Amino acid sequence: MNRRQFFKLCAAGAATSAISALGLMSEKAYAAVREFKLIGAKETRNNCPYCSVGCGLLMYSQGSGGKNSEHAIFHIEGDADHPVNRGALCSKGAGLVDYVNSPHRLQYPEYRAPGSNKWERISWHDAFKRIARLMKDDRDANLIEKNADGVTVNRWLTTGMMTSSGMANESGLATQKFARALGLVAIDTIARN
Amino acid sequence: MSHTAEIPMVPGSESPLELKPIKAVDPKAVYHRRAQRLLSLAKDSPLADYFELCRRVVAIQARLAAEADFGQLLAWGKDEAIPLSHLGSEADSYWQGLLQQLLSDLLPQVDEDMARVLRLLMQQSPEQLTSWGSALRQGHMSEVPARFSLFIWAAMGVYWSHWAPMVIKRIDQRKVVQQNLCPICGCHPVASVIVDQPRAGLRYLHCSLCESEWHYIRAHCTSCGQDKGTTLWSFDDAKAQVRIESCDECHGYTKMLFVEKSPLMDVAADDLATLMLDSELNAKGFGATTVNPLLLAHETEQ
Repeated sequence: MNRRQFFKLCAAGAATSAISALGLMSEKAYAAVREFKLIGAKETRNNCPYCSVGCGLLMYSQGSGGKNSEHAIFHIEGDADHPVNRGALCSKGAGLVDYVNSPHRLQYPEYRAPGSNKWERISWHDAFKRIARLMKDDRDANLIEKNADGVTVNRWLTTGMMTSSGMANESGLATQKFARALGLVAIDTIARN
Repeated sequence: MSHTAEIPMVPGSESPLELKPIKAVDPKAVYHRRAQRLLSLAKDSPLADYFELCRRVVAIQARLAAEADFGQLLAWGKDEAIPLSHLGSEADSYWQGLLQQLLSDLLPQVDEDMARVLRLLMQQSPEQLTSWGSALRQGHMSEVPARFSLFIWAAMGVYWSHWAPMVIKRIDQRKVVQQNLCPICGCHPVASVIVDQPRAGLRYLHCSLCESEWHYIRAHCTSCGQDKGTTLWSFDDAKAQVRIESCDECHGYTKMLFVEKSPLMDVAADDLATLMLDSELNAKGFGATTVNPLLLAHETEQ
């Protein structure tokens, strides 16, 4: 006998149960339903990306339910089952839902010229071009190819890199390769923010 | 994406925050609280008469749990995966004795129609009762006349919940794995209970028969174990104290009681008081994967 059966109640709910069999079923039992609005919230498990501890999260989002509709996160809590944080969150983690929904979140690259007090929106292409230009200029000017003993070291000490702390192994490896290939020595994660 | 079977239980540490895979519950306290809760919920319920009947049954359960003779627990499977699933004929005669006491206590408290049902149940042969009891415990509700099932289950509940705490003390909790049926007696859960001890937000499934509570990871379906599409449903307030967790994989659902928000709640009573939520989910094509000892609705498929 398979006791791990998939167990379903009758669609009529209490229609075939002790209540009706004992003659105590009331017509009013379901009448109240229409007064309430049914709300469905998607439940998702994830990790906090804001430091290398990687606390577990449960996130709740709502949307219209359509296949391509955007879900808006309205609540985030610590995942009590997670072996690292056991449901607790730090002050940064406790404010996650406000980061996610913040109107001040950056959604595209912006540029403020030296001396200006105005940010202007630029394209991703322009942003990458400008970053690459500045990196190359700085590296060309400051790369230390050999140390005092004449040993090749290829150190680029005038620029540092701040990277994500919540990455998987593969993206961590890619980040490390990218940064070390350039000769960067100062690499840190946003875990220290 | 993962299945609950792949998620290891964390090895036990000395920390007071360490999760306990199975929690023993004092049946007397459970029945007292349930009777109280049924009384307060009955006031606003369209099922007030049924709530009152259940309250009387549960009050008798509380008295029996405190006073009845339970004999000795002989043939329990100490080394089996589910130690209280097969107890032999000893257990049958004890719970049937409890059933007779329960019915005779209840008899003076009910009207003539109900009394006829109780008398009819009292006259059933032990063999018949044994086979009905076994069918109910295995989830075959429809094999038992619905007018009898409430009382049979109540008597069995008193017997199994008496022994469960003792068994929980003796089993090795480190061997417990995530499971969707009670690790002590093998019955279905009533609902999920979101507790604040040993740490806030943990989910325990509450057994419909022996009242034990066992840990089950959040955001996974308590029936099929998948986490691919879980949705929490509630009326009006997305953070309501009673919600339903549905699964897009198996189309089953489990009710969730956030007792951390409302400590007076009782699984069986509050599940019964929120049948409207079930009705909405049924209309959306989801089916309950749980058993309420005060409802015992019939199953539709196996």
